[in-house]
Amino acid sequence: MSAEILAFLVLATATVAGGVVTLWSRYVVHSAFGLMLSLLGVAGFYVLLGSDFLAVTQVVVYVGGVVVLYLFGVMLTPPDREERSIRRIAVAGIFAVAALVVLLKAVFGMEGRWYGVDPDRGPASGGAVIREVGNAFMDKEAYLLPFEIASVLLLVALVGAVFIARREGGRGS
Amino acid sequence: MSFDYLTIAVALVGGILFVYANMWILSLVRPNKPSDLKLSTYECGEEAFSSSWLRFDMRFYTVALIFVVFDLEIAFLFPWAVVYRSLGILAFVEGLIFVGILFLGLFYVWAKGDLDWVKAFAKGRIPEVLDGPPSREVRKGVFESGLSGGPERNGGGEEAGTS
Repeated sequence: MSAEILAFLVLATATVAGGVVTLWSRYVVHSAFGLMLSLLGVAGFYVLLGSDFLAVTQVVVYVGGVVVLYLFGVMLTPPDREERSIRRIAVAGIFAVAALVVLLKAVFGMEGRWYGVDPDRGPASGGAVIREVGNAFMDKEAYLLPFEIASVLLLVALVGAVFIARREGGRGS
Repeated sequence: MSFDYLTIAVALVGGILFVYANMWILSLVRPNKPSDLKLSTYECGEEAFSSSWLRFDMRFYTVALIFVVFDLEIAFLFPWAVVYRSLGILAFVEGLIFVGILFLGLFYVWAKGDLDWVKAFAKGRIPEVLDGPPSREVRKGVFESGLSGGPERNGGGEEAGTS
C-alpha cells in the first residue's frame, strides 16, 4: 500500500467522520466543528490531487473564515431542542439521494486513479499551479475581466450582508 | 508527485499526539477525586443562574462577515502577487482597481459605523455619559453592546454583590 493510498484513506475517514458529526450531533457547536474537520479533509484531497493553491484557499477561506462565521451564527441562534419533523427529514432526504446519485455517477464514470493524481495527467505541483492561476488572472484573453468583476461581486456581498445583518440586529440604527 | 506535504502531516499528527500523550501521562500520576461541584459551570465564583446558551451580540456576526469578504480578497490577490513581478505595470493597475473596488466596501462599512464596537458612542451619545449620571437609555446601549454578557447578567451580578 503506497503512501498516497494511505493518505487518501485517512483523509476520507476524517472527511466522512466530520460529516457524520455535523449531521448527527444535537449541539450546533459540535456540528460546526465537525464541518471544520470535514472541510480540512477536503483540503487534504486537493493536496493529493496536486492543486496546492486550491488546498490553501480551502483552508484560508472555508476552514478559517466560513466556519468561524457559522460559529458566530450558531452563537446567535437559540438552541433548537425540538425533534426533527418528518417533513424536514423527507425534504432533506430527497436532496441527499439526488446528490448521492450524481456523486456515484461521477465516481463510476471516472477514468484513471481513484486516489490522488496520475503523474502524466495531473497538474505539476510545487508552486506551478498558483503561477498559472496568476497568469490567467492577468491575461486579457483569459480571466482579467472576471478577476475584476469578482471584486465587484465581493463588494456587493459585503454591502448586502452587512445591510441585512444591521437590519436584523434591530437596535442601534 | 513529490510528497513535501509529509512534513505537514508529521506536524499535524505530532501535535495531536502531544496533547493526548500529555493527558495520558498526567492521568497516571494525578489524584482522581471527581465531584459534582467540579463539573459545574464556573462563573467568577458566583453560582450559575442561567444557561450558558445565551445569544451573542449581532456585532460579532457583522465583523465575521466583513472578515470573510476580505479573506476572499486575499485568496484572489495571492496568485496575483506571485506573478506580479513578471508582469509589471499591467498587474499593478489591475491590482489597484481590484483593491480599490473593495476599498469602497471597507469605506462603506466604516462610514456606516459597522466597525464601531459600541455604536452608541459613535453616534455622539457619549457626552450624556460625561455630563452627568448616564441616562437609562445610554446604560442600556452600553450593556447590550456585547462588552458584557448582557443586561440580565450584569444586573444579577450587582444584586449578588450587594446582598
